[in-house]
Amino acid sequence: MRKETKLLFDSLGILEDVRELLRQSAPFHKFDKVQKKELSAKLDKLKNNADELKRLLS
Amino acid sequence: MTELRVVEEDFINLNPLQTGGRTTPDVRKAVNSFIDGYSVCDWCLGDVNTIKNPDIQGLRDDIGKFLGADEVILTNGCREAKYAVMQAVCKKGGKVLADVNRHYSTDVAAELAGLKMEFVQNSGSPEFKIRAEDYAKRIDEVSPDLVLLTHVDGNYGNVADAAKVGAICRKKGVPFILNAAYSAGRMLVDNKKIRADFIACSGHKSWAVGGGNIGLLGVNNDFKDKVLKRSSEYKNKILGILGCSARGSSAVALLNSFPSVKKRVKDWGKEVKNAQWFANKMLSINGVELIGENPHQHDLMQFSTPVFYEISQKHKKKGYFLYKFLEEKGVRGLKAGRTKNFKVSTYGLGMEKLKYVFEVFREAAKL
Repeated sequence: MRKETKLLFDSLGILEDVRELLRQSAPFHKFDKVQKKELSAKLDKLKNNADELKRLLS
Repeated sequence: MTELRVVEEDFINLNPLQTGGRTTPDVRKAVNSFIDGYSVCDWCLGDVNTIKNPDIQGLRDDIGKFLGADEVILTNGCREAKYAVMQAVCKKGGKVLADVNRHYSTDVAAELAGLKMEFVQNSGSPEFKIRAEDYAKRIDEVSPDLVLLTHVDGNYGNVADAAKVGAICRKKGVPFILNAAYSAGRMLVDNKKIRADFIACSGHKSWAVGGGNIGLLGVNNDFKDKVLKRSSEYKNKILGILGCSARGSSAVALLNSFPSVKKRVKDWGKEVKNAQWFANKMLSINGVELIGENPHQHDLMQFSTPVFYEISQKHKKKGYFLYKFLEEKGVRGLKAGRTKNFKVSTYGLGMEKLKYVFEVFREAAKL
């Protein structure tokens, strides 16, 4: 698999994990400490992936 | 987790089964949202075909107009559409007359319905064409309960004259089903001109549908009561499709692919031109022959390729050399191990990619 494709699917996977957090915390999406930490880590990773994708494909 | 599939992201895909089912971004986004089981059933009143949110009812009406069919229902696939017709229209132990180029699922549907198959032969090598006029003679010989024509077959990519077969069936008074799995959704199929009683389509094969299987069955008014007969106990459940068919993301995929399908059928002429260009270029390689109609009228085509078979006999990767070579060059879709003959589809690739693919085959022929 090409690196940019792997990054893309990794990122989609991260978004799915965030979706799962929304599902688990429905209907109000009030996250507990563990969920907040998880969300933050996921979104940081997503940002890194986005930067790397931009670098690779620009 | 299952290994990721990146065939469409990292390769040019020539697999004839898959090119017409390649999804658009809208389809993928919608499928992702409706990925859970029974996801279209939030507002169901008892029949998937009449759901208004998401608007499956409206979709069926629009597709009916698009195909020129009086009524359209969702099925789990094209084969299920064929079976629904066969079991409703034919008498027990009756006969279906089909072209010999038919898909195996035609036979399986007939077998399940307890029917006998009779055939119209093709013209033989190298074109294997179905002559519409042969149906007239065979109808007289076998008195079928139902006539089936494979509009475009999956082996040679030949386009049969459906309107001519339709006219013959009308004249002879025999119900006629058109298997449009490789035609409707790629090219415009107007049943008002063909005048089939039934039209069976494949969403995942030719309507850019992902997220599972889905088919369409178009039925004209004469046969509506018979083929769309409801259960005696469950009044809104159609017997022939066991009540409800596609009831998840594939239905939403079709809803979201249909706008692009309506547009893309207008480009069918360009697709045929591209296919003919590619076929002719391949024929310029010594030891490559086209199997099927020539000039070719469809994106699916089969080649006989003794040149690649000869190379495989002395290559260290043997019969896998061609698959491996193509894969290294970013081209997928051929069956691994095949060198004597193979099928490809040029659908949706455009000239730039087709030129590249041809150069890859030309290089492979020099190995």
